[in-house]
Amino acid sequence: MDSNAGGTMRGVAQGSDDRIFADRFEDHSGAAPDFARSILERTTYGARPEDIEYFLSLASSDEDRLHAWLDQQLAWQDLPDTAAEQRIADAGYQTLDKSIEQLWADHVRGALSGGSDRYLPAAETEAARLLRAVYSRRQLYELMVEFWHDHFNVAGWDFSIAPVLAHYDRDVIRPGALGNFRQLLEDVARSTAMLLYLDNNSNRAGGYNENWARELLELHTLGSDVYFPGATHGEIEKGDDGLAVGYSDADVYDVARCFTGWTVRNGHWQLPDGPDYDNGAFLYYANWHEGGNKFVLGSWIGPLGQLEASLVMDFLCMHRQTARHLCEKLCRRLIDDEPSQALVESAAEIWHEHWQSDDQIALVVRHILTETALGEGFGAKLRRPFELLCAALRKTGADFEPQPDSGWSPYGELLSRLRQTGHGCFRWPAPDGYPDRSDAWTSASVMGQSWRLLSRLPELRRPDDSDFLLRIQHLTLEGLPAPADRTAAGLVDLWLQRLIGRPVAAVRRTQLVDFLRQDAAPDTPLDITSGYPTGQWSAGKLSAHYTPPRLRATVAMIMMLPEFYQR
Amino acid sequence: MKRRTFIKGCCAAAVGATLPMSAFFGPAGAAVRGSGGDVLVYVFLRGGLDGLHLVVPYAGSERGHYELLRAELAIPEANLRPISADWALHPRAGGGAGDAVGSAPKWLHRLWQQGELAIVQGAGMPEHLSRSHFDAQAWMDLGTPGDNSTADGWITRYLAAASGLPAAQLAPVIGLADTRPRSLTGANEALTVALPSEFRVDGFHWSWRSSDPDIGSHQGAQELIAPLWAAGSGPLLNSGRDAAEALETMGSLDFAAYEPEGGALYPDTTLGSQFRSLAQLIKFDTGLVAATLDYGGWDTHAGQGMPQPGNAGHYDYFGNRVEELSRALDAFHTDLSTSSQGNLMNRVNVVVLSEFGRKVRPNESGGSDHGHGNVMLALGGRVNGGFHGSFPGLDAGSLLEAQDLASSSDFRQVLAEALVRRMGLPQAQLEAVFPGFESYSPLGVFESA
Repeated sequence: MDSNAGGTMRGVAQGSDDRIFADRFEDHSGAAPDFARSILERTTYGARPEDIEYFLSLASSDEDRLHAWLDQQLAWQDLPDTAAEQRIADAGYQTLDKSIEQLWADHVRGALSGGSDRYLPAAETEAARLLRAVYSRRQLYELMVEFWHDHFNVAGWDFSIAPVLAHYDRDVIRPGALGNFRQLLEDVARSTAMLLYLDNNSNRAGGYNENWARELLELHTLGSDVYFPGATHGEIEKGDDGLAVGYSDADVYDVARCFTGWTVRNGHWQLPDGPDYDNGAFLYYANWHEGGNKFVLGSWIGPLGQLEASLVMDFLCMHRQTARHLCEKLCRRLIDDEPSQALVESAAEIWHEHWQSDDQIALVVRHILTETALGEGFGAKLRRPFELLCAALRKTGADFEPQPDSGWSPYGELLSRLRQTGHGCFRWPAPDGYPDRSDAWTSASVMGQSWRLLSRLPELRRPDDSDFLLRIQHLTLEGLPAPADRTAAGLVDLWLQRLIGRPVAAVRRTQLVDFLRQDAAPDTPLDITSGYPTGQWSAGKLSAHYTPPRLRATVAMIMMLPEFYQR
Repeated sequence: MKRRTFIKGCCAAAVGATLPMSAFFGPAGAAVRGSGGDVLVYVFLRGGLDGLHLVVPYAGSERGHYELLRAELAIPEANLRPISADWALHPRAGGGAGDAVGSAPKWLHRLWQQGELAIVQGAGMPEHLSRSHFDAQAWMDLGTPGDNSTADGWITRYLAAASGLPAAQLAPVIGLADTRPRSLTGANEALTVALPSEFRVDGFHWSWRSSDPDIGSHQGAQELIAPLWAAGSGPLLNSGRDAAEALETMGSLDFAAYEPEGGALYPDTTLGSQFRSLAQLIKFDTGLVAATLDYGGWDTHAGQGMPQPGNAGHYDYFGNRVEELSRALDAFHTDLSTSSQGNLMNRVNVVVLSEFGRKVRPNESGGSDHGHGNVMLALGGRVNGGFHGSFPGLDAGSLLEAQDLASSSDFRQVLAEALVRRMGLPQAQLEAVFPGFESYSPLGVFESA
């Protein structure tokens, strides 16, 4: 392996701006963490040795490599992704290609008549989400897909939303993940999943439903920093762009009125009869639109029918506060729980300037990653449970095609344990999406359940029992082909390098080596192949007692180390 | 926090929670145990409970306003369970979907009749107003209406300000949630565990999962977790150590073997399981002072549901939520009040609240949008059963902005009363717990100490 590929275990230190560990471990010097790894851990679901080698092959300087890497990752459509797509094809999912009309016919109307499963589209979307996060070459794009699913969260496993989640993921979130926010918002506002989730499907003249309008302002665009609850129309001052600098309940109500009639063809009794009005697609139903003028962010919106909501979304997307709110969230996702205000403001400038550009989001992401790149701030973020799982799967060369199986299958067990961490896919019930600050993910509950998941991973086998999902044995034999090198220290270092690639506290390394070697001398090789995968009973000589499972448990414990949390 | 000492002393005996505490601590037990102090249970109904759909005007002038404004979302008198001349409970608070309103009262209705349930109608934020879930929840959890940047949760500040609290052998406060509730922000000694009964790192291969006492020096991977997190400092390391310690603690309690007392039947749901685990932790009497539970799903913008008592096949979303909550509270009450250790509800004080009520007028989706004033409930042996506070009124002149039930009782008034009268907080310390709260005047929800 290239000596640049993550450094050696000893002699490389924590970055001086380490936010996770308050202390330095004394056996480390003072060099910065490896640049390639710092970029890749931040822009992928887990840096593998082959990712690092590839990154290093891109150019001859750190800066050029970073730009070359971002060029590729941000032009995601041009990046061939055949391996991931082939796995999705091999997995045989049934619902992911269905149009909204097909999903509606098969999984809403069909399910009502006892036909297919309402929840299958959600289950397959979850399986594909995990599969793409692990295998896709478009890693930064997949991270952004997750970001937008959080930002425009819907409760994906809800009774009414599960049947159409495949559409929401494929046709709404994924196309716009690195595109233009105004377009993405338009697609979200018209999406069946969001119309059902925030009830705008039943927002109509004479009795509006404010749910979508409120969250649109509070969560999706302006943010609650500029919410002035009791203010009346015209009371909030205007900024230099002519828009009120914030919003009040009065704005919420008028935005709701602008969105009256934005609904779903769901066979409502007031809609015209016929199958065209019960196919699950978006409908602007003029009969439900409330006439009259509306007053939004300090401006009158005349009676323009469907265009009123489009104007509202224009106001919101050109608003400087939306730029700040969104850029703060992006910086938080990509860089640091508490990003610097200077970074947020500079990103917001680009966001605002390009609010009508097709590649607005890509431009902002590039800015954020290049402004802070050069190794700075590495490891300020903690992996959330889903990210821990993906990193574990990627770095152990996992070979799997998850199936939407809730029973006693390895995938059912894996997904159920993921769910108990509180970070299962599409399961956050509230419209604010999964939290992105570490304090939300470091409760005893989340940490314990994450360890419970990770402790299980190395023992899960493919459904036909042919092999383990994680290729721990294979990679061990490949990494240490000579049996004489398979000492406890050699094995632990191999896996520390592969899974973490940066120094861990020496005392932790010693504990792992001691666990793995048991009563063997430190320089005595362990027999990790006899009786594989179980090994044998050897109570009198614990170094030979069930050695293959002991190696797997050691690898699991490396995934549970504090250093594995940093990205 | 030194939990491990406690665990080593008690894990061997911790097989059944119905054992008297002396079984854990021997003859000197009384001095060591949690001293039988009071426990505050803070139940937050996330999403904005429609309080007017739970505690409903039944007769009189408010009934007239209610029917006029609530229109199709008004529950007919015949479908309600009356609890006073003018007020009634949603039928599912006192019976299943198939139970007629005249059937024997269960759950909350039963507890009301026993004088164990207090209701405050028209509770909520004082002058501050927000119809944002996220603002309003934060204001309540932090105990600072109007300010969601407060550094500590109100329970955290209570722990710091109260005097004479028992020395906690596990943790003084437990949040039964995935992520730490904001009411516990800043409480380093708080433990957050969603499901104590399923809190085990049990995935390793059996051969090295846990230490085998029959093999000399065999040490399981589970036992290595805490040592692996021992070195280093910083927030993540501290959290990891807390988690490792909590795993040991919870692992030593046999939740599965627990048998609730008094025939208590907890619903087979997350909420039921959480109340069940909490009852067990209270019986262990480890010095637990407070616990928080969250029960969501109250954001009923559409398809809220109308009860049809007696019709078991009728689907009623809101009613299903109410029934689950009522069953869980009742099972918890039964389990503790009939304990072999005595009536433990005499030292357990349950408070139930939600971030805001909902609009009096329904929307066009068979639901209700965000409003303001709401009900608060209190439950326990030291609660003065009945109505407290003054109902703000549903007449046009009394509504907030002509659309919402106003708030006539500051939610902090109820919490403060629980703290001062039951939880050992000197009244002079109220300002420390609820900064800016200057008008303490107890409603009489709780008996004086």
